[in-house]
Amino acid sequence: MPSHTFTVNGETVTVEAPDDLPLLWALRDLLGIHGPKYGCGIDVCKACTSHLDGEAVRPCVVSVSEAGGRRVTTIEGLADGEELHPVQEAWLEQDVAQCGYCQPGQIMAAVALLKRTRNPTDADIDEIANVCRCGTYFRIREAIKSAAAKMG
Amino acid sequence: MKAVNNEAAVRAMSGVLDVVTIDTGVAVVAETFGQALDGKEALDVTWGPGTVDALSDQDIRAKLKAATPSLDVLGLLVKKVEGEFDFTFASHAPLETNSAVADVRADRAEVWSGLKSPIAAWAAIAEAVDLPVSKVTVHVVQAGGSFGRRLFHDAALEAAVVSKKSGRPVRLMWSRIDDMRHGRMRPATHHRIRATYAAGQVLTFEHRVAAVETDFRHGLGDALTAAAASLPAGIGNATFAQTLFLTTVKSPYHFGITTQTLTEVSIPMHTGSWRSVYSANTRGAEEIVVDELAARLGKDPVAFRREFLRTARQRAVLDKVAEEGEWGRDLPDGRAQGVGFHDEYKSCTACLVEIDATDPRKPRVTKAVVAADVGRVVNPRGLEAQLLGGLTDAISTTLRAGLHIDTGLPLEGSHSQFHYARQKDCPKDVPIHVIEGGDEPGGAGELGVPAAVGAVANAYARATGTRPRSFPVTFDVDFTPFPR
Ligand code: FES
Ligand code: FES
Repeated sequence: MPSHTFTVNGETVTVEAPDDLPLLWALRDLLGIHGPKYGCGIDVCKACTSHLDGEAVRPCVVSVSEAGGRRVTTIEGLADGEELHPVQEAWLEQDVAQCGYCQPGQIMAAVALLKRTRNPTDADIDEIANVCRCGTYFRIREAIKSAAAKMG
Repeated sequence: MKAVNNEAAVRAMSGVLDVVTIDTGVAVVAETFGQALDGKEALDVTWGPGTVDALSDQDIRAKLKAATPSLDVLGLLVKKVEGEFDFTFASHAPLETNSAVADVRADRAEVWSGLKSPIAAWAAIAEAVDLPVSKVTVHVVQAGGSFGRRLFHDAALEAAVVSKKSGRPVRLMWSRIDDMRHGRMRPATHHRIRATYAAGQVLTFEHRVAAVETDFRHGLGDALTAAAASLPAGIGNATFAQTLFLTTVKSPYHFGITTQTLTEVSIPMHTGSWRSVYSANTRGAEEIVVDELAARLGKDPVAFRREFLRTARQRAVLDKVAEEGEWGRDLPDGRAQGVGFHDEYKSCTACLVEIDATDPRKPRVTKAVVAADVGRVVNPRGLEAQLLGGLTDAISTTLRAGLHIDTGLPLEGSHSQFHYARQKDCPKDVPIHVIEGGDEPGGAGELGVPAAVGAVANAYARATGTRPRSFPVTFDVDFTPFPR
């Protein structure tokens, strides 16, 4: 069985898995990192959104071999120790989550957006295609704007 | 199911530990879900017939239309407003697919799942694994929002049976395509509505609903009602459904003699209650007729509702959205406001939306103002969240989200095809006003949907100058369906 070494949330890990195993399952089932959620497996619901070398990706369509030697960040690695990321703070302030299932992906998508642009417009926010079946979209929008203001 | 034709080949796949046949399908047990899903994809199964293989949307619509009772016979000179409406099937489409964990041993069993009818689930699991209930522990865990889907405990049952047959603990999860095509859905409905009027007064309001039968066999939260609901014929809950319909669907208006009836059509499909059960379609359609009635009488939709609402409490809620939403403000061509009202669960709510339907095929609700009086408010932010969720459900199912049934199966297989709203479909501004009411708390979890359905449909009608009759209004097969 091939082995793959990469970093997850700052730690170096090695997993034994077939090359084509989606990274999502390496994270969830081999490493026990459950923040990235399954909702479709084909890059349409965006529930699994995480970062690869700082860019938003969908680990359900990234193979574990592609992650080799790279830096994976999941929702679990977003906070700096006890210190939450400003986007997480904003999420708590706006009380965004309902069931919460989509929210790790929503937050990781928002963090990536704020990295690309410090002052996202409504049109930029519209481009986040993550499904929220509980319909929290307006609060997500508000939280992104408030995080943007905080992060200056 | 008749046979798995390539079991040995699937068992030989990387990571696959077992292939287990159960009553409801074939489970692939593997080291990771990725490998289990690959195994599932690779399965070659000969299936037996389904329950509705010959039926497609048009057949079901025709059955519903035929089953909808006629309206009363009227004299020739009676003035009336009438409409016939169709609402398609809607998937619960929970973002977390059906799932459960089970560890079944020879002498005991333990199951974890997001369950809304846990006591009924407990009894069913014990029976399925042939253990006394005293040897079965069921843990209710937090679930992804499912809006009615998890009233059914099929995932927990399947996990338990697979664990028993495979002799190991299992985490069971449905793939998205199975969840959407073989899960549950809100039944399609057909509506005939007619109001008669004279001298500025509404004399009668008649509403005849035909719906594909809703499966209520999960009961209402305990084993007793589940047992009571499992009567022999069809899904077997005709009386139960009637009672539920008659106790939940009420007109908030003084419209003279008002009659609302439900006729269920028994079609053996996987249906289930969907947030707000009958009220979303039933009251949503009525709110459309209310607007048409107002227009016929030459009245403004808000002023007309105000005149016919029954209580000061209801009027206060309506006034709130009219004022905060600047009802009647000028909007450019292709854009319009719409309003809807609903009273249920000892609560009432009004919704005012603005829609941009400059391109009638791509309407977007740009703003929504919601007001509610739910009596005593326990958790204000939670209450607002429920109203926001109800609004999003209404935007989705009124404008774009539905299932096409094609020879027995939904064509939709993922969230790229079932068009539940995303950020780009949602309003950029949603002020929600909570009016503090009396001592007793009312319900709010399902309250938001019907008023918002009415508001979105009415705004769409005004913006486009059309009379929408079939929902969702945009419902093309704009995707290539996955293979069956
Ligand atoms: S599970 Fe990855 S995008 Fe849906
Ligand atoms: S909070 Fe439930 S799916 Fe988004």
